[in-house]
Amino acid sequence: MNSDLLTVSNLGVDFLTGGRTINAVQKVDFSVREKEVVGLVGESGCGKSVSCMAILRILGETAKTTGSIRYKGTELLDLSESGIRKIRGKEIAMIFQDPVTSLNPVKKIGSQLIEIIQLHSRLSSDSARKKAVSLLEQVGIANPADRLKDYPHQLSGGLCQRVMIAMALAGDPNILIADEPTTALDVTVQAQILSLLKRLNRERGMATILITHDLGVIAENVERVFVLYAGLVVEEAPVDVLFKKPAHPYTQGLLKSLPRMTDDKERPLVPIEGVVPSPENRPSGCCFQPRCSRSTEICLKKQPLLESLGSGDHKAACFHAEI
Amino acid sequence: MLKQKNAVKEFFRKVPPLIFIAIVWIIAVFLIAIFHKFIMPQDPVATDLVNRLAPPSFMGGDQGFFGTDALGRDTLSRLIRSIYTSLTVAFIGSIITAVLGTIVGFIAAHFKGIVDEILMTLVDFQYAMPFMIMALLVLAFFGNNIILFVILLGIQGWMRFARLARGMALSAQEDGYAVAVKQLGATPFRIYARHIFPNVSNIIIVQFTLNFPQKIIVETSLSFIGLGIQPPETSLGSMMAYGRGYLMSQWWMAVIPGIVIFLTTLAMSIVGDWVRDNLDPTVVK
Repeated sequence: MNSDLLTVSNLGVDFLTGGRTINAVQKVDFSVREKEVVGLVGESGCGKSVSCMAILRILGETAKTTGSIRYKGTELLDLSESGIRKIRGKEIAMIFQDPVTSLNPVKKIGSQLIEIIQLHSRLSSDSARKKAVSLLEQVGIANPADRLKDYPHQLSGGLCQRVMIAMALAGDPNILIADEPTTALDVTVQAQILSLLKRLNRERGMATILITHDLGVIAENVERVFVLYAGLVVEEAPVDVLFKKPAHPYTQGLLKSLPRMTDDKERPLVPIEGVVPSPENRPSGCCFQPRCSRSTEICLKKQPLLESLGSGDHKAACFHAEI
Repeated sequence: MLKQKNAVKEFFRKVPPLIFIAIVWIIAVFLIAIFHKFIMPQDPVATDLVNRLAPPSFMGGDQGFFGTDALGRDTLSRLIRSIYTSLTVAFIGSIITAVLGTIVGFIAAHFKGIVDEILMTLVDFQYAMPFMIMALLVLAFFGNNIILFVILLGIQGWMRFARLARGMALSAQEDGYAVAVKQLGATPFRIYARHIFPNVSNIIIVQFTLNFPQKIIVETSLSFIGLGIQPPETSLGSMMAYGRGYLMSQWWMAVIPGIVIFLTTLAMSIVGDWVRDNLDPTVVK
C-alpha cells in the first residue's frame, strides 16, 4: 500500500464575523496517498471547499484553523508565510469552480502562464514561452501558440479551465486540488475536463483531490471517497464499496435519491427528509440525527466518531452503521 | 487606409465639440511646454530697460506680441517658459501623488488591522488639514528649493488616491484571479503590482486627470504668494504675482498668465470628467 502524502486530521475551521463565530468545518479527517485520486463529496456548505482552502491557507484572516495538516511530514499549519508560499503551486496547486473569474481579465493568457512558470523556475522568457506552449498542449488546447495571445474573455469556459489547469501544472505539483472544476461548464465539456484530469493523474503520477457534489463524477473518476456532512467526514470508503455497500444513513439516503440506469422505471426517488442544519444551530449529538430514521437515544447525546467497519478502508461515523 | 480614415471620422463623431476644443488646447499647451526652447522668440530673462512696460502688439505696442514687463523682458517668451515650468512641476508632482497614494492604499488593504487604522487615520487627517497651511508651514521652516517644492506638491491630494486604491484593492483581493495566483505561490508584491494594479489602473488614471489641474492651481497659488518657483525662473503663478503690481496701469501683465491658468485647468477638468464617464463603468450617465 502506498504511504500517505497528505494527512488532514482533526481539521476545524471557524469564521469570525461581526463578533460571531461560525463553525464551517467541525472535524475533518482525510488522507491522500501518492498518485491517488480521492473525492470529497457533500452538499453545499458542508465544508469541502473550505477544508481544501485551509490546506493552502488561503482562507483569509477571519478564518481560524485548528487541527493538523501534514504534507510529507511537514505541518503546514505551522509554516511561516514564506514557507507556505513554497508549498503553494510547487507541491500543492488548486483549480477553482469558476475558471473565467480565476484568470486576470486584463492580461493575456500567455503573460499569465509565463509569469507563473517564471515564478517557479528561473527560465528565460524564451524557454518559459516554450514551456507555456507545451503545457497548453498537454491540457489539450489546439493551436497553443495562438491561444497565448488571447485574453480570457476570448476563450470559452472549458478553455479557461484548461488554462487554469496548465497554470496549476506549471509548478509541477504533487497534489492537484480540483474544487468543483466542472460546475460552471456544460456536460460535454465537463466530461472532457474530467478525462483530462484523469489522464494527467496517470501520466504525471500527480495525486488529485476532486471536490464535487456530483456522485456520478465520483463514481467514474476517483479511487477513494470521503463523504462530508455539516463539516464532518461521515463516511470513508473505496469507491466501489461506497456504491455497493454504503454504511452511513446519509450516504444511503443520497444514493436512494438518485435514479439509476438499472432501476425499475416505477421506483420513486426518495429524498432525505429535512434540511442541513446551519453551522450556528447544529443539533445535539449526531449532526444527522434529526433527519435519520435509525436514530436512537445515544444519537441524541453523542457525536459518533469515524470508525473502521471491518475492512480497513471502509469507515463510517455512525452508531448504527450497516455493515 | 480606408479603415483608418473611418476610425478618425468615428472619433470626431463621438467626441463632443467642447471636449474636442479642450483636447486641442491641452495638446497645444503640452506642445508649447515640450518645445519651449525652440519657440521662445527671445531669451525670457534678457532685460531691455529702454523698452519697459510695452503693451501687447494688438494694443499698439511694438515690443513683441504680448509686450514687455517692468524690466523690459519679453512677455511672450516668459509666458512660454512659465507654461513649461508650471506643467513640469505639476506633472512630476501628480506622478508622485499617484504613486504614493496608490502604494499607501495597497499597503492598508493588504495588512489590514492596525496598519490600516493608522494609514486611514493619516488620510482623514490630511483631508481635514488644509493643504495650503501645511505647505506654508513646511516652506517657512525649511526654506525654499525646487526639490522640496515638488515633493510638497506630491503630497497634495495623495489621500484621495490612497482611499480609492485601498477600496479597490480590498475588493480585488477577493477576486478569483487574485486568489488563483496566490494559491499558485505568488508573493503579495507580485499580486498587487502585476495583477491588481492593472485591473484598477483605469480608475487611478481618472483620478490622475482630476488631480493634475489641481496641481497647477496649487503650484500657481504658492508661486503667487512667493513661496513657489523663485526668480529668475518663472512660472504662471509668479508671473501673475509680478503683474499684480501693475494691475491698474498695465492690466494685461497679470491677466495673460491668468487666462492661461484658467483655460488650462478648465480644459483638463472637462476632459478628465469626460474620460471618467467613458472609462469608469460605475458612473451611470
